[in-house]
Amino acid sequence: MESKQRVLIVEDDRWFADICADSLSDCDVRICHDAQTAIEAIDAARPDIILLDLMLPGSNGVAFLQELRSYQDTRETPVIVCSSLRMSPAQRQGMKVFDPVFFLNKTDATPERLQKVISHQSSVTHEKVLTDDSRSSGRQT
Amino acid sequence: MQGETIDLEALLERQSRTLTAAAHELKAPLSLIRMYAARLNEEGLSDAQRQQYHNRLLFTAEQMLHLSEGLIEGYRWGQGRLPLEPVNTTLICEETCHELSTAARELNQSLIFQSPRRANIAVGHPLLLKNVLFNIIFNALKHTPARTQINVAVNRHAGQALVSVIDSGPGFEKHTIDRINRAQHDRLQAATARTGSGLGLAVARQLMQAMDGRLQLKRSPRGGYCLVTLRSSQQLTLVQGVDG
Repeated sequence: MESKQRVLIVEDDRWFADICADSLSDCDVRICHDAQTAIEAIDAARPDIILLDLMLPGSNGVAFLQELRSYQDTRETPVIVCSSLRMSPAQRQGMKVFDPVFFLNKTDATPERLQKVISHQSSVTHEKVLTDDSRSSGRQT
Repeated sequence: MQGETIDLEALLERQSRTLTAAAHELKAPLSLIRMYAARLNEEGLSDAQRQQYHNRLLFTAEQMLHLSEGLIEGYRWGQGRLPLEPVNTTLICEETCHELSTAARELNQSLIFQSPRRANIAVGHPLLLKNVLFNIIFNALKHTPARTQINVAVNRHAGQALVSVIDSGPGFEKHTIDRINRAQHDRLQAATARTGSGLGLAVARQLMQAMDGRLQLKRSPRGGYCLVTLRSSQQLTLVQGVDG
């Protein structure tokens, strides 16, 4: 039997985190409301994919990504940045250093799109960072 | 003449940035409303889940209405021309806490209003003060962990009416305190940038200034500490004999 996809939601807006978790009922979802508890949760059980807000209390999503990518076992964990911040092309380009990173703007987020992004690990907006070629190049887990 | 033109351009630029910041901050609750609407349309939800979505949808819409109203009123009265009157801060606190009691239960938090024995009359604007308290308390509810206790108290000291909102959460971040406490009257955008607490506190600060009052954030060993200060009213004190 196929195991459920393990999703970690890192989001300080508790209601938004809850509705995202409810929308992913086919997944094994954990919620953390700040970067520190998220790192601790990852240490306890590595997720298959992370849904990350950029504005977090005590830290920010970029600092979290830096720490996440510094560990061998989470270097290739896909991260979906779900933020209401509309990033410029230059900012998105700058985020490539944290690949694999995908973008889902909160204004585009619906339960259906969230399910699609999580299950297929693909962008649903024109703000996609990775190309299909780089995604299929093979990653170590 | 050239100096006046430059000042006008700078003012328009600041207003544009402020509106951009405000529009950005309103996107998050709008996204949430859309998510709830989509989920409520799905089959297979339990009655409890449907009720939860319904309640949160209503409160999020209420939050947006308060924020929008606060923005409009803050701009309208930002130059200190707001007509002020005696307001019963005790009654307004009580009403606001009652209005948010369901949201507190939804979030598994404890919202406690410590009602004083007598009415505490201040000089302000009843609708704007209610808007301020709604934003502050709702902000505390949304951004503190479950099982947080939020205490709202009304006091009087040195000719001022004080309303404190103290939560047992992690407390405000230093940059949030700095931005809210130090932001100038017309720098709503500076106050909202990177606060993590968003528009609510910045709007509350601006409305307090319009009422010739003050909003301060403090770090407390117990958690977040938010203090609203208004001038005490002497007029009704003399007429009704309430605590002055």
